[in-house]
Amino acid sequence: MAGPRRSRWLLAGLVAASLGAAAALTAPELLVNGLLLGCALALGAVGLSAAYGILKFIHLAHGEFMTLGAYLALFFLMEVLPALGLDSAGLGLFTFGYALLLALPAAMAGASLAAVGLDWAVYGPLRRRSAAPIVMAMASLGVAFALRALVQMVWGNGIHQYPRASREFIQLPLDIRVPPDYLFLGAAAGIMALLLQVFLARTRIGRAMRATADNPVLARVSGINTEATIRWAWVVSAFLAAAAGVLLATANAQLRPELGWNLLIPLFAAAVLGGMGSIYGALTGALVVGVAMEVSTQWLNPSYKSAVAFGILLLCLLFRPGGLFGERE
Amino acid sequence: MTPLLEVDRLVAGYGDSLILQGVSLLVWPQEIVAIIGPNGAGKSTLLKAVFGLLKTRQGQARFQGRDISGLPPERLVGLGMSYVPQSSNVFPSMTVEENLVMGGYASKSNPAARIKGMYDMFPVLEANRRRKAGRLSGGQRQLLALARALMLEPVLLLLDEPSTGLAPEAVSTVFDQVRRIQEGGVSVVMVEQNARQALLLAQRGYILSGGQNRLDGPAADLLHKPEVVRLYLGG
Repeated sequence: MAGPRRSRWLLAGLVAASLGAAAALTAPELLVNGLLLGCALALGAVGLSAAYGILKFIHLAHGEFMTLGAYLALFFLMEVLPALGLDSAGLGLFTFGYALLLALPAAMAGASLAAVGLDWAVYGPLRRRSAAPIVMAMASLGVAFALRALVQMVWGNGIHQYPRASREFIQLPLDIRVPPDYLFLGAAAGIMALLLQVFLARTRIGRAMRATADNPVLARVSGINTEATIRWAWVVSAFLAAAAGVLLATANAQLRPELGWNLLIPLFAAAVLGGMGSIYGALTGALVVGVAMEVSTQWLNPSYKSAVAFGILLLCLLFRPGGLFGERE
Repeated sequence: MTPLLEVDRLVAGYGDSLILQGVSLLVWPQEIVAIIGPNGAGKSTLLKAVFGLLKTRQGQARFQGRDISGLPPERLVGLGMSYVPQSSNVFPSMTVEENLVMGGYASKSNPAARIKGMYDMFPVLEANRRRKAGRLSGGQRQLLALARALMLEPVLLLLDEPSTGLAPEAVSTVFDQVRRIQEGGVSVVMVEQNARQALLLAQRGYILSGGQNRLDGPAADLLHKPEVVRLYLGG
């Protein structure tokens, strides 16, 4: 048993180390930015992987949860919170204000509600008819288009921005310059990943989710209500996706209806690299993909970033379809 | 005395194919019942149908006198019945201890004392408590599956082919544990390919074939019936 396991970690370590070394030598700034971007991807990829683990289908509308969350935050920032007279921009080092700290959880809650609603209206009825995974995936593709169209109908097709104040980049050692909002993104994603870990390891619902992902029949036989567990999986996965959407819209200083859709490939690359269904794998996979995408801009035109993610996805599917860190082989 | 479990002419299957075509079964308190028969006889299907994993089309199952036909598994675990599926019967990415916690999931009370009891009964599990269940040996995994099913102190345990994929020594370890479980006051219904060993362990046996009852009786009698030996025990 130890053999394949050790070689897997060795390989993962080698990949990470060589990526890190190449990055650190040529572009330490890109490495740091890539890690922070990877944190946002991680929030999205974890939800995607968890949804796959429990629901056993590829949820193609996952990126739209990010978009929806980001636009819900825009709604709270522009329409709701100004009425309460909150600072809308320029909190300390950051471009955003206190208002974002309220808009973020509100958007996360809103996206979770939408996810539960979708399960009630679309995925649940299909599941009860024992629809094949491919049918579920196609339904989620339809949901993705519908959600994006909804965002475009309400907010238009143009570029939006959260209220922001202009801020200096932060100077780190080794001449690394980081936009301040990236640090917030990294910290917020780190805290959420920790909370997720505690939730999955220590709470009754978290354990039921892991058990259902592991062995759905045995979960039922142990007395777990798998339908309720599935609803919780939607809540958690949309919660994290919305957080990723808001944090990315903040860090990138712009918001477009394609935000989530364009990230679907990097999210899948991260989830597959980590082993579909594995939470911790998705976290690590996202960091690798984030770094690879950022560091590639040292040599490649930045518009090829998605192609880099796609390349990782392709290589991984060719050589390690179970992922570098997959729990199951 | 009322039987613990009473299955009365049960008809069940997947989709249009009815695998069970009217099977009956009685289980009395604190006995081991072996269910044997050729592949496709409906042995595993019978356990699944009793435990609510399959829709029953006709017939009835009563547990302690109460009609349980159509109840889903999440309701049955609270009543004192437990089920160990064949082969994939642990949560592989969870630790041994977490598997036991999941076994006690249906009860709101703290599982710590019961887990301690399981470790006393299966010391090998305590030695591996922090290991992931997927990394245990086949025999250890089967013991964990038994322990998980015992977490809620059931009075009836349904075992689906506990010897599948095990080395001969591991099979005897598992069968010894099944006997100890019975001595603790639990009835066991055991579906087995390993027919001779199962009948040696059990008090009574049922032989199914083609989704119907063929023969039943005291296990010792079945072991010596020439037609049973010829058809089901391999000569």
